[in-house]
Amino acid sequence: MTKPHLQWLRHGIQTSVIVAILAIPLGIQYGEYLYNRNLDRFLDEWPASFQRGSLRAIHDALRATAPSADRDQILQKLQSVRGNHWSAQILGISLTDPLAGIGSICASGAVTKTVLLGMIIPILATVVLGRVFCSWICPIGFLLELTGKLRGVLSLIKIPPKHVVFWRGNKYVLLGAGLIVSALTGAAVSNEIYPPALFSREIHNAISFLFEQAENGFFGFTLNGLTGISILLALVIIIEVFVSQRMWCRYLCPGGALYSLLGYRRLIRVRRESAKCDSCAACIKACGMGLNPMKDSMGIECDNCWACVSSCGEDALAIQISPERWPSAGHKKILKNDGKTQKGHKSHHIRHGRQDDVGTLGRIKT
Amino acid sequence: MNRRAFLKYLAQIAASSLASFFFLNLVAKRTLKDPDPLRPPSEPQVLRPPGARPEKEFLARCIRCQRCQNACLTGAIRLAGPGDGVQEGTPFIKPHDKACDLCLACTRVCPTQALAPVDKETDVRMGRAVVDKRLCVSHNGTGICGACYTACPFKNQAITQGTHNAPTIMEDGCVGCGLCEEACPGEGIKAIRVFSGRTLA
Repeated sequence: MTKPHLQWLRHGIQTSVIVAILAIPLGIQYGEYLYNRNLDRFLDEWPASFQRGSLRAIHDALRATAPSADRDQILQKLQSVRGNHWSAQILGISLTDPLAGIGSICASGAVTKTVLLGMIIPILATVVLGRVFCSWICPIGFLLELTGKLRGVLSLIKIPPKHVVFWRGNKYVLLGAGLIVSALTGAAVSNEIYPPALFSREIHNAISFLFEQAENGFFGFTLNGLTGISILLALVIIIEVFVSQRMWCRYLCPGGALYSLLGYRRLIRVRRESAKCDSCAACIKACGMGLNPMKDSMGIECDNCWACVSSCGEDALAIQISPERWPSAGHKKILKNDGKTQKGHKSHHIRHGRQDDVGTLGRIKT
Repeated sequence: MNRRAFLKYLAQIAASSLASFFFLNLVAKRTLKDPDPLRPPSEPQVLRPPGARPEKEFLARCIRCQRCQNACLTGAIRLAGPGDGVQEGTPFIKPHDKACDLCLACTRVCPTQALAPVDKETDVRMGRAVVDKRLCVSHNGTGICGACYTACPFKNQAITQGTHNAPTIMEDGCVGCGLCEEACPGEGIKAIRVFSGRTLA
């Protein structure tokens, strides 16, 4: 039986992260208007627009949660969440992406307490759960998952998208090279090339530009606030749709590489019970990272998105809690009536399908 | 692994490393491109937030996390986009539009101490105000103003008034918050401007 609810849970968390990335800059704008402008006047005078609507929505939400709060209490409330998923402070807890922290430490040679403390929770989570940031939190991962659905549409209209395969080790090289270049030049390059970090920066740019426009009396929709970051993101998405599925995540992402390495001995793994498996290869189709769950050893690349677990119709895939990989059991042999032993019909297709996609480092057995 | 696969593996590593280093060096060069010369005095000046370390160290430490901007309730701190003349994604203050009110919240939230903690408001050194005596109405005799003196949080330590409220900046006391520049009624170019003395990449 397939288990779609697992994927709905995951997409729910991803969506809430995107909502938070949108809501925090809007909340900051609201705080600014509340602190040193006459907010009520703006709420009344501005025409119906995105700007007024968002301020109004935040206003109502804050009023609903704290009806009697005065201005300072509301501001305090707004200030309790700041930053973005690259580095944030949530209710007094500091969180910093390990790539951001390590990049900054490499570039400046200086270690601060806040960065070290902030990296503890993400690193511990990755050590135990594996590369879960990529599949449960990363906004770019979600964006690419969604745009990846367009590949199916392309196939329908007879423009089959390409499946270009690169070497998976690229991302580890990019991570190492990035840290070395940071240390040599003193420029934290990971800040400039890491799409998840750029994404929230771009959202911030766009929103603050919209409010700047509103101050000048222009309330229409405009893309003028977007920067070169959008071109980079568009390029990543175009490659995702037409050339190679999840190319950034699989082959280039330095953050994913760092998380993969940190999750080397992760506790949460996908386990296959070969007795139940009928080698239908649904899990291979489902895997966003291009891995083969039927091989029983997905190595460090698996991001625990559990798409394979959800897609399995035979309950052959489950989530195990163990640092050891499940011993490989091979494909289930199907005994035909004539007594001849042969592999399932579809497993033939797998061997000639996407197995070559699992590159050298993808084969590291943990 | 046979010899052929091993050689292929080595070639992959070599090609990937070369490409990565080349690409990342380009990014680093862009990030650390030769700092622009100081802005000409006729342009609105740009400052780093309070406690900012020297420019090169600041850029190395700053992870562009927006926390300082989020902490800034006055809206003085803005994040650089293209065309601001500052490295994109880093925080800056343009006192011409909105000056810092020295709440120092930004210095407390910076995770990497790119904005170093500052104890007292008087320890801030964002820049120094300079009076343009030809533009200032109190200096050139066309009026009596005193707006900058009124706005200054450190009266008589950072700024003093002479005849017709003509301001004089005291170099040791001025923290460069820019409240005087914001308050200056001069149109277009303000008569009092804060110069950071740093070249912003």
